[in-house]
Amino acid sequence: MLNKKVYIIDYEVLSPIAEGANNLISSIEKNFCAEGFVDRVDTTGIPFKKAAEIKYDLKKYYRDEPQSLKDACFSDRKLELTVACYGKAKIRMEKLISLFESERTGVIMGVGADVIPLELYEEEIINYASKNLDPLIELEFKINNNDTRLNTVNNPYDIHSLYLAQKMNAGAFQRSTLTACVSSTQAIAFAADAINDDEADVVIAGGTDSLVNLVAMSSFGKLGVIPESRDAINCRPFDVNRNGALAGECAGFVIMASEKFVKKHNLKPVVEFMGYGNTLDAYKITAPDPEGTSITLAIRNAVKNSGIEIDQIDYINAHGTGTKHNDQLEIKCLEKALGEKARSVPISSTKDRHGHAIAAAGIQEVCLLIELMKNNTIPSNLNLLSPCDKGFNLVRENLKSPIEFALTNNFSFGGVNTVLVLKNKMK
Amino acid sequence: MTFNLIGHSSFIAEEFDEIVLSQDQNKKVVSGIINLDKDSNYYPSRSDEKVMRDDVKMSVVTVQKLLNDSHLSKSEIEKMSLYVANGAFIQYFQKHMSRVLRVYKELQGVMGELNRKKIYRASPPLLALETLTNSNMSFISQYGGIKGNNTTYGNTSIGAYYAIQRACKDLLNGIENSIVCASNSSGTYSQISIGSAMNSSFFKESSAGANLLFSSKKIENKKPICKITNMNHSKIVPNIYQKFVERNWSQLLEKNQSDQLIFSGAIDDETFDKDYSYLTKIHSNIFSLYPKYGSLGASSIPLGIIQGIKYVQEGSNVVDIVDRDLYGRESLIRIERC
Repeated sequence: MLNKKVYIIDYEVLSPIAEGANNLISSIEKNFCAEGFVDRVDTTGIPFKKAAEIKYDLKKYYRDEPQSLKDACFSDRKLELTVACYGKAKIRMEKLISLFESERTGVIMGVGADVIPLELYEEEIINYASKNLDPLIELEFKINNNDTRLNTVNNPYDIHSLYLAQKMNAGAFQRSTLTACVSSTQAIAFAADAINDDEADVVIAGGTDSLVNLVAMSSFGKLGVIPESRDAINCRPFDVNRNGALAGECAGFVIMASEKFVKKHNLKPVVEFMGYGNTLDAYKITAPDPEGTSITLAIRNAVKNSGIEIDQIDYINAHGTGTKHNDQLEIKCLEKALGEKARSVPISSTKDRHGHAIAAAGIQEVCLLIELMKNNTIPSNLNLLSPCDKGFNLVRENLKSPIEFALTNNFSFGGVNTVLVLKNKMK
Repeated sequence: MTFNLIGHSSFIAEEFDEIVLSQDQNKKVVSGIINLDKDSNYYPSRSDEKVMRDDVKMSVVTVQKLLNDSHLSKSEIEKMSLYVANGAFIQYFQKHMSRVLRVYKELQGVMGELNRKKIYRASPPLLALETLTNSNMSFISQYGGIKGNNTTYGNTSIGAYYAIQRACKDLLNGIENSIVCASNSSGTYSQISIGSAMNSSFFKESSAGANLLFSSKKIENKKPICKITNMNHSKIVPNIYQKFVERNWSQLLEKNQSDQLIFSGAIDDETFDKDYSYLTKIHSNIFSLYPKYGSLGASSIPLGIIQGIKYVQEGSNVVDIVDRDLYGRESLIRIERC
C-alpha cells in the first residue's frame, strides 16, 4: 500500500489507433478499428495476415538522431517505437523535462521479447547460406559491428530505458521489466513504489513491443494465440465466437511524480496512482489457472491497496484479449473479486481496436484510460455481437459517463497478473 | 536498515567449450556449460523441459531445494515475493532456427509463395514459449508454489542488484519472505547481444544461477546466514554510444572499508586485468570469480554474495560485493556477519 501520493503528470503513446495520446479519444469516438492487412511484412504464404499495425511514418520523429541509432531502429521495431515516442513528446515535454534532477529521476520500461528480423535481411541470409556459413551468426556479428555500445540488432533490453534516461536526464536508475503482457503494467506499478520509497521524485514508466513481424506472427499463430485471417473481423473480446487476439504494436510512457515534486513546481496531475495487485498463478506456463485464484487475488489486492471501496469503481478496462480461455476466466475472476459490483460496472476491452501490444499493452491501456477519464467516455467492446456472459455490463456502445476510479487489468503468458487502480484528477 | 539472508542455493558451469562463432568476423567465445541434475526429484517434467533453457531447469531444481530446506509453510511460500534477473533469454539460437535456415539455403535466391510457405512450416512452433522473457520466473512459481509480488529484471548484471533491492524493500513493506533468483545463459546469443555491445572479439562467459532467500521472520534456534547492511549504486546516465569502460567503484567504496572485496564486471581478460589493477589500489583483499568462470552475467552479484558468505563463515566480518554492468552502472552490496 502506498503511504505517499503518486501522480501521473504527463503521458505519450504511439498506438495503431492514434498518432499520439491527444488523438486517442477521437479514434475511440469514431470507433476506429486498426485491424487490417499488414503492410510492413510480406505475409505471402503464412496464414496470419492481419494485425493492428502502426501505419503512420515514425522516421520523422527521429531524423536528427545518430546513424547508429537509425540503423538500430530500422532493424528493431520496438526500439524504433521507443525512440519515435520520445520524439513525438519531446517538444511538448521540454519544459517539464528541464525540471528533472538527474539523481532523483528514474526510468522503468516494460520490453517485449527479442525477435530476429528475418524479413529485413533475407537477401543476406540466402547469401551466407549459399556459402555454407551460419547465416544468422555471420549476419548479426556483421551488422552489430560498430563503434558504439548500440547493437543494430538484439540489444540488451535496457537499451530502451537507457535511451529515455539519456534524453530525459534520468540517472537514479534505468530498469527493464520483462514479464510479457504485464511488463509495462508492472513498470507503472513499480514506478509508483520507487516514488513511494523515496528512490526518486520522478519516474518515466512505460513499455514498447511489436508483434508485427514474421517470427512473432508465425510463432504466436502456431501457438493458437492469433487466429488465421479468414473472417472479416478477427478479434472479438468477450464474444461467444471469439477465436484469438489481434497482434499489435505500441510504445508509450507516463511521467509519474511525487506530491512534493508536483507541489514544488506547481504542476497539475492528470491521474493519481492509487495502488496495484500483482500475483503469480503458480500453475502452468501455457495456460492460466482455471480457478483464477491468483487473478482474483490480484484484483482484490489492487482494490484493497488503493484504499477504495468496490462501489467506487466506475469502469474496468479489461485485459480481454479475445482468446477462448482468457476472457471467460477474466469475467469469472472479476465476479469472485468484486461480487455483485462486477455485474453492474461497465467493462470493456479495447484490444479489438488497437490489438494486443504484449509488453506495451499496459501502457497503451493506461494512456487510453487517462484520455477516457478526461473526456468522460466509456468505450464499447467494439466487435462484441453475442456476449459470452449476459449477466455483466459488457459495454455495447460508447457511453458518456464520468470516471473517477477505474481498474485496468493485464494478465500475462506464464501466469503473471497485474491490476492497477487510477483516480481521475482532472475534475 | 539491515536485511537477513536465511538461505541460498546455486549452480555453476563445470565444463568449458571454446567456440568459434563467426569465421568472417573472428569472434570466439569460451562458454561454461552447466551439468543438469536430471536425477533430482525436483527436475522438471518432460513436457516443460522441452521449452526450458538449461539455466531455467537448474533454477527450478535449486529453488525447490532451497524452499524445502527453509522449513517455510506452503502458505508462507505462496505469499513470498519473487524477483528474477536473467541474462540472455535464448539458449538454443541456432537449433531454434536451423530448419528455417535450411529452407533459406535450399531457396537459391528465389522467393515466392511456395517458399514462404516452406519457411513458415519450418518455423519453430514453440518459439514464443522457448524465448518467453518471464519463463524462469513462471516456472519457478509453478514448481515452487510462489504466488506473491514479482517481476523479472534484465538483462545485464545490474538486474540482480535491482531484484535484491526490491526483495529487501518488500520486507520493509510488510512482506515476510522474499526470494531473488538470478540466472545467466551463456553462449551464442549472449555473445551476439552483450559481447557485440562491447565489441569484444573474445568473450568468456558461464551459465550459472543463484537464489537468495530473505526473511524478516525470527525463526527459533535458527540464526540468519548473514545480513545485508548497505546497498548503493552509481547514479549516472550511461552513454549508449560510448564504448570505453570507466571505473568509479572508489566512489561507492571510499568510506567503507571491508575485510574482503569481491568484484565482477569484465567480459574479457583485458578488462578483468584492468579492473584487478584498479581495485588493488583501493583494497588489500580482493577476489573475483572471473578467472575461473568468465562473466556470470545476471548471476554475478548473487554468486558474489554467496562467495562472500564463505568468507563470513571463515571469519570475515564485513564483505563488499561490487559489480559493473555492460553500460558502466556500478553497484555495491555489503554483507556482514549476524
